[in-house]
Amino acid sequence: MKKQASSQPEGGGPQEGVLDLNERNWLPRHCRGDEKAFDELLLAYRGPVNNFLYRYGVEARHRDDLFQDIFLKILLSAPSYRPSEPLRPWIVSIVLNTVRNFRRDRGRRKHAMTRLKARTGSNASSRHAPGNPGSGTLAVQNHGLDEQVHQQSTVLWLERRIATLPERQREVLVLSTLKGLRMKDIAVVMALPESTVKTHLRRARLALAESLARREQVSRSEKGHAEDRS
Amino acid sequence: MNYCEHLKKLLVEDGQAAVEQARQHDESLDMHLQGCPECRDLLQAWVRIPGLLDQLPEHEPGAELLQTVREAAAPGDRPGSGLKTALRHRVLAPSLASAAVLLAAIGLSRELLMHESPTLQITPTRQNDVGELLEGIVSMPAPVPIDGEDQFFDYRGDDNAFFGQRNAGQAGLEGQKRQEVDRLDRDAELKLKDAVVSFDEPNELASREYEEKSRDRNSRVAKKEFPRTETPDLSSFEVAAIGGAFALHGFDFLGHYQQTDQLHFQPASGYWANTYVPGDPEIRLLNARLAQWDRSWLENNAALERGVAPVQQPFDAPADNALALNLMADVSAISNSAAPTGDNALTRMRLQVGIRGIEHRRGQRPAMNVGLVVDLPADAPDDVRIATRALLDAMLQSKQAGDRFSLVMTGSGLVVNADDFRFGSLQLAKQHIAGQEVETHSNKNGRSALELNSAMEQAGEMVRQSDDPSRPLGSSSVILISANQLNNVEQLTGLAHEQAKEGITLSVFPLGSKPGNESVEQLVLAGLGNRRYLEAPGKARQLIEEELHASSRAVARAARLSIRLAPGVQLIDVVGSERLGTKRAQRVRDIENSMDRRLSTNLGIQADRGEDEDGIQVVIPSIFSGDSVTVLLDVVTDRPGAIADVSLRYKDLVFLRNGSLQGHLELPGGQSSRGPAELAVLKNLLSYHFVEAIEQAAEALGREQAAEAITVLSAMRATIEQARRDLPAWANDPDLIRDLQVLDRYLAALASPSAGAHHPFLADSLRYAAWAKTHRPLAEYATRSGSNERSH
Repeated sequence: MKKQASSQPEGGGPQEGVLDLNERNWLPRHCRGDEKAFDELLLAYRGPVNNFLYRYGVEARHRDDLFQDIFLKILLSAPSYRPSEPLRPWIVSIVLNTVRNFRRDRGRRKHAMTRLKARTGSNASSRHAPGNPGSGTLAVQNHGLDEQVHQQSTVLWLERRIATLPERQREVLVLSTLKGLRMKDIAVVMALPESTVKTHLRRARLALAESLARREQVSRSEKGHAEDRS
Repeated sequence: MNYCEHLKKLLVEDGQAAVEQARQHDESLDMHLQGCPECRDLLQAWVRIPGLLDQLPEHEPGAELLQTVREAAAPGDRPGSGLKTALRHRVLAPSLASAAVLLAAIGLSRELLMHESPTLQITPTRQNDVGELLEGIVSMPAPVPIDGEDQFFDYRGDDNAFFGQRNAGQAGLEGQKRQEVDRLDRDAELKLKDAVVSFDEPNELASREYEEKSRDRNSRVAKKEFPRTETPDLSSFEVAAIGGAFALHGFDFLGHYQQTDQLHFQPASGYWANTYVPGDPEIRLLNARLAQWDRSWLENNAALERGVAPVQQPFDAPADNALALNLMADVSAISNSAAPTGDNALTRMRLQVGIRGIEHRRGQRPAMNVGLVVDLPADAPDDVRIATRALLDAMLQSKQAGDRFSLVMTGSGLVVNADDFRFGSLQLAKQHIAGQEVETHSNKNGRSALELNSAMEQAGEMVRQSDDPSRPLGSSSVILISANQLNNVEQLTGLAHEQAKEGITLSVFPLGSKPGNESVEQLVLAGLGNRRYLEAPGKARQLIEEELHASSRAVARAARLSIRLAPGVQLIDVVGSERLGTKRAQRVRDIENSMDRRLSTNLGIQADRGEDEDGIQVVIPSIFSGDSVTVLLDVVTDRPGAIADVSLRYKDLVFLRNGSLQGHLELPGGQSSRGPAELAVLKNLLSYHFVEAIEQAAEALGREQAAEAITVLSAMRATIEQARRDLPAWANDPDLIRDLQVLDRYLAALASPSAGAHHPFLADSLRYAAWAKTHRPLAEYATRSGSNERSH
């Protein structure tokens, strides 16, 4: 019988995450003293990292600190990076862990502050209401604008809405918006089965779709009222 | 049932597809979705979400922030920089705390932290401070000794090749007595044509082979050893009876390839020529020229070349290796019957070895160090100036941080070093082309007229001064934009070769040139670079992007294919290849070994070459993303069982390891029947003849030999017709029918009284059709130029 060609790659190493070869050599080159290598990495990943922080909903006042923190961690971990592994998931793992730690630490501090204020009788109400306070007004503000402006405002609204999703859904969704990161990579980064990642992603998409549908309904009804008034 | 909730559940479980499927089987759900505005809105919003996510804004960090990070990463040899700054920075506090815990955990002395220790000294060293600090304290393993990217033999191509489809052994136009002479003749000419047409992004090996072929061919032509095919008088054809009267010279495709008498066998060993050379032929230029062709004289303004059905290869790209290997034959079984002599009957068959490169994302390109040479005549016409400005504009738009562009202009002698005018050399060139006098550090002391040779030398020197050998090959290059006829090609070629040996490649953008400009080809062959034709100023950006990104597309190097035929299996020919002589074989070995050593040094892939293997050996220096290489062997066997063992060893640049693939083909005894796989192999062979025929017709038209072109095309038509008659599975094969229609249209066009004035366009059209047969559509390629998408 005819047999198919068999594949017997030598050596181990992951089989996933096929990305650019240049990327994989940045950190080893940096470790060998190539001053340009880290700069190349920084230039390539400044956007994705910053996008992640924005979309994840990190407050502006913490964003720069976290950005630096992430790249310094990359520096510190550089010797442990193996070029046989794709770089992007490796970096994304650092980004995700850094942001998670930051959230956790802030959560602890916030909790402690709340308890302290409760004991001292101070009002612990936040200046920032949960959710997305701007979404309703945005619809009003955008009323009457052309389609392009409406689309842009919807995108900006969506970015803010993502930040209000439950943590897992938000992580999966934000990671899926980063270019070059596949579902398998996200599963590896988050240490979850791929099917679970997909489910989180669909839940996130459903939540966003529900919000978007409601937003569109509000927009339509307000437009109708405005036309009635005119 | 709450259908609103049911809808959400379906969306979460399996997305919109599940909803559509459920609607087909559940009328109630379908009715609900039609009537419920909330669900309708939800579905619409669900569909919109991915598009909106794609439009999420990109957030770039501020320059100050980037500078802070850069300073933290820099070696600590400057006051206030490096780790010292980073340590002072508050964001390192958590890291320091972690480090402290780590130190305690591994039981290091507290003294180590409290007192200055040699391991904690921050001094400029070979390694970065942070890495050394950690390595020194916790004895972390040293980094994997993988160096910068070795791209020495990177011709940075984005093309695909159809290996083994340029030599059929015979075209069938002549009788058996002419076979050998014809084969040699066609070998010589078509191999040369291969070199001319396909060697667009060559390597050193290809360069040498090309030179050798050229010499070989020239000597044969000079001796007039091989007369061309005799051409009947055009008037003898009944043009109206296309398909009938033209079926004069077709050959029995199936019969020929099943024939087992009077065969000449070759030893199935030694080195054979690799004809897979990635490159971008002048197809864009052809496309642009054809766009200007007034086709009104053709019936229905037919776009003749668009009708060709591209060959589809039945093997997929790998996912977990840089390459995939596929082994097939055009028969499914070996005959058990006995020959009249009492021996086993021979079965002739084609063995197809397919190699496919992984679909590899292009990713980031390295920072480029480019020496730009602009070579325009003093009285350059406006269209040339516009094209040059478009290219310079495109380079400006594509310029990224870290790129260095230096400039040399011939004639005026304008020289701008990248450091002298770091951000403006291209603007300067644009001004100069526009006739505005400019002055820079480099040229303010007066400049003298520069010949192209000196300009190239100067550009190479400027690139060399800031060249970093650890960077990928192709990141340092000289780009020549020239509208002049290249003189002193030999001298230029020598210069390009010397620069290429130092890792500085040469690419040429000829302006206003015709396809097949041999001077340009020789130059880029020697310079291991690319030749790129600008079809229109609007395409300049695409061209420049391809050029600048070309260095990161090779997925495998030094691919060594070994085909060992089983006992009883004899080799008739490796279709489209040729056995290499001792000298050429040695060159192949030298280059393979050189690549092996470099990849070992720079990427840490263990060196494992240096010894010959058994069987037919083909070394393919580089294979690019998504490319496929097909090798066809014409063999006979006298027994069922093992046919061949194939091994492919290669340097896997995607997974950074030595890759090895094995294939084994066994066929049972019995009556052979052709399934889809067997037919695919056979169709590859027929496609080879098709491509060969239309290329030959194009070449004939180029010589204004319309009668010869008609002969060749009509013979091919008859061949396909007969193959369809002989093979019932091909009777209604849509690809073959399309090929026939294409041939009919060309024949009708050539027979038209108006054809005489259109021969150059018809020749271009035929060349385009030959290309289209073995490539995906140009439009598809153009829209996906980020990666190497073409396949055979």
